[in-house]
Amino acid sequence: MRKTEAELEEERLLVEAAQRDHAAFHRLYDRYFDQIYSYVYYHCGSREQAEDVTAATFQRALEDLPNFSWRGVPYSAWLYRVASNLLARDRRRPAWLELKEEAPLASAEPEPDELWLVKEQDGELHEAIRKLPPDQRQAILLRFFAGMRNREVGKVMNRSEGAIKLLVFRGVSNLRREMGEAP
Amino acid sequence: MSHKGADHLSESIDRWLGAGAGGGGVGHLADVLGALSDAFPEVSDELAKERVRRRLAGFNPRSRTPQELLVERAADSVERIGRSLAGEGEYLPWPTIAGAAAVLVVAAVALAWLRRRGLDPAATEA
Repeated sequence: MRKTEAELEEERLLVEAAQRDHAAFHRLYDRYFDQIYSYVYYHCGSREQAEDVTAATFQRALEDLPNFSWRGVPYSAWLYRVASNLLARDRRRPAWLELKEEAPLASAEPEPDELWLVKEQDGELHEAIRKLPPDQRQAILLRFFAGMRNREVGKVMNRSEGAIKLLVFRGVSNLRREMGEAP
Repeated sequence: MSHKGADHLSESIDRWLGAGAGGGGVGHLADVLGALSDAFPEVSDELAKERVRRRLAGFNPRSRTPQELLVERAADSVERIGRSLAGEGEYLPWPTIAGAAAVLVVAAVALAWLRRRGLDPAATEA
């Protein structure tokens, strides 16, 4: 999950290629779509919202591509940050606009690519994570889903490394309480 | 709140993520770390991916000027301050707070200056 120097260099070349020619952006899109979509889905538990937020994230990425300057931080960290900001805005919308995860439709034949939704094995844990305060949930997801170090999570969340450690500590403590002795 | 506990947990997570299952010790914490590190497989939804790809294909990116970016960043800061004041657990780094305070002070001074000019009969007649 963590990026090697070679991967970072490859990523930098992809970003620079997309800055020169927007048509090359599709390679960044193909590389990061699943990551961002999954991250948003684990945050909100809604496929529709995950799709919308992911689309808005990549639209912002396209718009800001000319202004993006490489600082040795994975490009995905910037995408996670944009997605997180968009999710925070969504939380401020009226409750009737909030989409909750729906059970898969019994009559609908699941597409092979959507089987992961039907087969979700960790519903209880995911539900507990969605009950966490947004900042704790974000820190937990970036640590465990994105596999980021505290320093990288701090860059995404605009906080110090120490603050991230405490957030993760609180989040894990809350999860342990929430899930009792049988996670 | 235990900083030592947070440090210890952080090291355990790093070991766990680096070494895979078994790197985080034993007991309930190990169970939780194991569950967390296994709970988030990267999901693939090719239909959603294609739908978003089509949306992006029809999207005309509008490149923004540095001034527009600054205004947008300021609006984000205001929104985050709003979330923080609303008790939504939004963290505000000190530069954001300092910036907001500076803007407030400047606005208050400007308001006082304008009011004084407005209340000054000489200024009004002029």
